Amino acid sequence: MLELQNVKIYQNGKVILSVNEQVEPGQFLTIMGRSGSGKSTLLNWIAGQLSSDFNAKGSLILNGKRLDNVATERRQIGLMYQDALLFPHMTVEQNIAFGMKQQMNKKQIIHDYLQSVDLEGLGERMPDSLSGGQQSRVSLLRLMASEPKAILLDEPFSNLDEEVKITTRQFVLDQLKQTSVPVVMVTHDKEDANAVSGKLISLNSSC
Amino acid sequence: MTINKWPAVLLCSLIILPALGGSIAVVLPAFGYLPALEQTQFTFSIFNQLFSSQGFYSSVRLTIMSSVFSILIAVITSLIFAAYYYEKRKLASLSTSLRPLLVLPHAAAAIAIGFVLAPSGILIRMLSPDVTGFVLPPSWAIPNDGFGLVMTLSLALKEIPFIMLLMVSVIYQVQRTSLFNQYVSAAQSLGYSAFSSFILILWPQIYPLIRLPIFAVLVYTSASIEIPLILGPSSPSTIAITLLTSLNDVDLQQRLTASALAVVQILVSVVSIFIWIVIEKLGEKSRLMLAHPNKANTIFAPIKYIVRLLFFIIVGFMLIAFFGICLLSIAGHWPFKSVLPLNFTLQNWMSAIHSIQTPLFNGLWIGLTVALVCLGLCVTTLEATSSSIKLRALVTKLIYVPLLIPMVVFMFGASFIVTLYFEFSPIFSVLLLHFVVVAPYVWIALVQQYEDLDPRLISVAKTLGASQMKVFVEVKLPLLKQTFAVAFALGASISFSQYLPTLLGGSGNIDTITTEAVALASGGSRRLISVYSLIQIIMPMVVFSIANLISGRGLLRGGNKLA
Repeated sequence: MLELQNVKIYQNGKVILSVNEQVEPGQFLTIMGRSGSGKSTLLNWIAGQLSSDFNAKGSLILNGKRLDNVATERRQIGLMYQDALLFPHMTVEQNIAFGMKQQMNKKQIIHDYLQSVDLEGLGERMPDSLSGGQQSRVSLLRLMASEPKAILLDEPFSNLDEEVKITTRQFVLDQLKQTSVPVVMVTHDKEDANAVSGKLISLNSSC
Repeated sequence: MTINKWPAVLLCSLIILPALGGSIAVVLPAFGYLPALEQTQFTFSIFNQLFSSQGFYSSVRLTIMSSVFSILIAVITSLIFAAYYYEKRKLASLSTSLRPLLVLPHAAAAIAIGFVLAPSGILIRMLSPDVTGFVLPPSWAIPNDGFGLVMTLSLALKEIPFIMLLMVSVIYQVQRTSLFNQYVSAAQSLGYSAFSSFILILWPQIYPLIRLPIFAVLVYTSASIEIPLILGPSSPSTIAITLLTSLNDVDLQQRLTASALAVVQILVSVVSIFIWIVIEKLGEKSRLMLAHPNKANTIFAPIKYIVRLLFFIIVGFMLIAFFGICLLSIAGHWPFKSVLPLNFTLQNWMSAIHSIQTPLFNGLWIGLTVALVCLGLCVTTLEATSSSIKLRALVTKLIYVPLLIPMVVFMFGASFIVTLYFEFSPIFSVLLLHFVVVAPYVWIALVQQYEDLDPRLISVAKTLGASQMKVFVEVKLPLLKQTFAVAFALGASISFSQYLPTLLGGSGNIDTITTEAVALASGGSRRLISVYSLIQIIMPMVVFSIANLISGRGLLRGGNKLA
């Protein structure tokens, strides 16, 4: 379970956002708000990437363990942005292997992963040779391969064309539901919010 | 998130302390306080003697005029090129064609330009006797003319590639972060040509971003050594050259005069900046007066026709200079009027090879060591400041400190302090003084590219469980390998071309190709000088080529191996 206990985020001494929520495994917490409302800043704090321009108070607890003073790389919280953000100098296989804990039979495991999302045979390809939808799927595989204990989605579908968006969103959400980890998604798109069940927070303040 | 400030503190201290300490160390002797020479009474008499010395005011005038005019010529020329080639969307190729000129050492450039313009130089040879009627070299006082015109033009020529590349990088930066193209479209829809739009709309956005570097170039130019020494007038010469002469005088009392000259040099640089600010204001007023489509388009129309000519003159001149010294280095008998030597010989190269080994070895290992240390410390600082934009911005500001103090001034003081503490190892003094000069350029070459790397890529890598070291080795290094390679090559090239830090840090005991070339330029064999100049030109080119090869051929390629 992911718990955000009395979280307050400050900029120049002023509170720009406060949250007190819990997200059960397999559940979604959707945070909606317009640009500049601080929703991405909250995700950065959860990921341990808060810029020094901001301060935060409160506790971040994942599966009973307090994480707010733990380094990003040890939090086991995965992050997906609106762009696939595949490492451009690595092949598809190398991208998926980047965060894998499993050291044995990596190649076979990646092959199976790719087969499961209809990308079999694309392991040696470079990211720029893939379509937008294919890149999103590889990005998701990379995230899943790192075995995160919670997942953050930052406007995950906003850069996709309308047609690709619907199928990719369905695919990503189906995959995430199977992982049984808490998911926090921030979006400004009502369709994204409607596509997931779970709690919805609307941020109306601006900063 | 904790920020490790130590790399930033170390980098800034290593740069600023010698620069500021060196500047302060020259002030006290200027007022008569130098216990080492048993001078302990504060006095203004050294300045009085200096002010009443022959040619002092002419020297001040020459220094200010040559630095301000050379930068003015360089900025106007670069502005015209940027406005014209931006319109033609050829800025990238222009920047590529000027890049080799950037690494051309000042001493080599001065020697090459001198050979083109000398009365018996290649330009007069090409035009004689058919055009000029000369059957013997004319007795013109060039290139060391009394007004310093050749010196001023040479300084401008040397600064154009730097300012041009600076502008191009800022234009790309502004294009990424503002509505650059939309501004141009809006101005064009109001009737302004693309050239006028650039000058009237885009220039005010670009100039503030290059203002500080221009001040740094102005300060550097006002105190430069190599070009004034080789191409400038000798009586009077610039303040920096007079200072260097006093410094090299066997009479130790001249150290006091040198200190007073160092203080004057600081004032001269400040006055040059003040004059530049006045020029900026006049330029701004003129620009505002042109804010009418017909007026602006009419005034700028003829400029467009001379841009290409100007570009070919500059590049052509540099090419003639380069081929001129190439020919001279292998020339046998080469009487006046002959455009080409009558016969060729490798004798100059053979005789140089015997004397060149130690200076070449010294220059190479000093340059490569300094570049490596600078790159290492700058990258460590960039990594340590990755979560603090404010601290990184502060380092970027502080890094300009040694660039805004005339080098001859702080080098003089810093070398005095450094050699006092590292008397046992002059090479350490040389390395430290080279570091002070090279590190700011390495930082500047790295910081923008580092900041342009998508921070979300780094966030994703970290959330996938990668440590900072793994993120650096597997993500940043492969993506920034070319930037690192160029910064390293730039650092090494700048170190290769350093004259003062080597001369003063090593107390004249450590020879490099540059110190030898400058020493030869004041009276050695022209053929031997050309060999040294060519080696000076070849050294940075080789380092840049190797750097490109390493970064381009994948020796730093990223990606984890799969089990």
